[in-house]
Amino acid sequence: MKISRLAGIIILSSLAIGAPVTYWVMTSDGTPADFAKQVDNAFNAWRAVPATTLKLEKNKDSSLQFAWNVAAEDVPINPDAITRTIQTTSEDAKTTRTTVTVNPDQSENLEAGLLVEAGLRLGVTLEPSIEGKRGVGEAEANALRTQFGQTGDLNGDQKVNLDDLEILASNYGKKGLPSVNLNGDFNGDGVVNDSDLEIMKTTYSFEIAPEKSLTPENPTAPTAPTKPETPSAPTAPTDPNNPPTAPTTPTEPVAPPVTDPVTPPPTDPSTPPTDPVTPPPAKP
Amino acid sequence: MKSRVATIALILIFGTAFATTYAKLSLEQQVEKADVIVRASIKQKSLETRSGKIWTVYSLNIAKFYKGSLDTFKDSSFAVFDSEKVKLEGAPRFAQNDDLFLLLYTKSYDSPIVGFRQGAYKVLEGAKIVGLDNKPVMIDTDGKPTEATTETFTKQLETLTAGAK
Repeated sequence: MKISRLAGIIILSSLAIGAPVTYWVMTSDGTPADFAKQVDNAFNAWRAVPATTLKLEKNKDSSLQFAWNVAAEDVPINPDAITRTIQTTSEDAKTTRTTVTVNPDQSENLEAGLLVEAGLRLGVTLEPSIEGKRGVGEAEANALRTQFGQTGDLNGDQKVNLDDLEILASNYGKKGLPSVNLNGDFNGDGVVNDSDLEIMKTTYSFEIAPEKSLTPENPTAPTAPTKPETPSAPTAPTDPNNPPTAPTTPTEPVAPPVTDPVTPPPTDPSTPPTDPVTPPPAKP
Repeated sequence: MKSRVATIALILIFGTAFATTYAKLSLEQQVEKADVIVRASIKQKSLETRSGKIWTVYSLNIAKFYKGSLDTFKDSSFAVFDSEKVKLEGAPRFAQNDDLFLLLYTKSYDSPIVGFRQGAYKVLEGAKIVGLDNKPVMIDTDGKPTEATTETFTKQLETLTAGAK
């Protein structure tokens, strides 16, 4: 198979890039005025993590409810619990509602408890035991980026390809505020550099389509899709007014080992050679 | 298709990511707060409806009281507000024959374990003490933190309960 033919069938895979929206609602019965603000603050602490596509909206979906000691009279909350999470499954098992109830007697730990609950809601596993104040640490921010991190799709066309690489290259070496439109700063460290390119590499992938069919002229089995070399790092600019050009995307991947379909493999000299192309004569 | 897979994956992640939060308590604080401290094994686990709500009830074979007595813990059992349809996230859950040290409130709470789930310790292979997170329990021995054994943990409990009396 010719390398040019291989190059011709390289396709860029489109990636699932969507920002799931997390919803929650508040209950107002017996709720102190600042409770809603405290819940907002907890989610906003996570929203502030740079380089994420996290979207949050409240009062849109009742599947997650934050409540102030609602139903505590029926089932008293453990005095050491800060927040109590109960998942209620409907009779038909089709829906689940989550209620996070706050223990008013643990108000000094409430901020930390809500931060943990909001983080858990976003898929970031945190230690549920609380000791003093806590914020979103670097490890937790990274965990959030795993869930909602920018994926490399800088132009929003649902693909990560050369167009996105050009955008990253045009911003390469630039510095700025991480959360303010610094396209390509995936890790949120305030500069577009090799680290961001490494992140893009994880989503910038190729697929080689399998061959259509086996033919007598081409008896080699279809090659399994392989991942060729990822794009190389653009050169860091020496002149800030002269950003680097987009790195060259590999158009010709490393050819997989191809066996010669004509030359038969070495065989036992005592065995008479067979013609791989000519079929054996039909029996009368 | 990929986006649907990603969505399902996120739902699965979200669906398992909840927990109740609680204030971290030292063993000394737990001992001070507990009404009852026992070494016991789980005799039976059952579901009971109380005031229209389903509770998981654990009855115990009590080997020893370190705090409290049968006078204050007549039923030798405790109930957790946790069931299949109404799940208390992070609830302490036990299996029959679990060998445990339990620090309990006698008043009915969603979880009567002191510290929500912190005051429950499993005895593994008759000697090793772990929390419900299966992490070894560390106690100070001659000023050094060491993994607790039944012997050292019992000694610690006896020391702390003597101080709490």
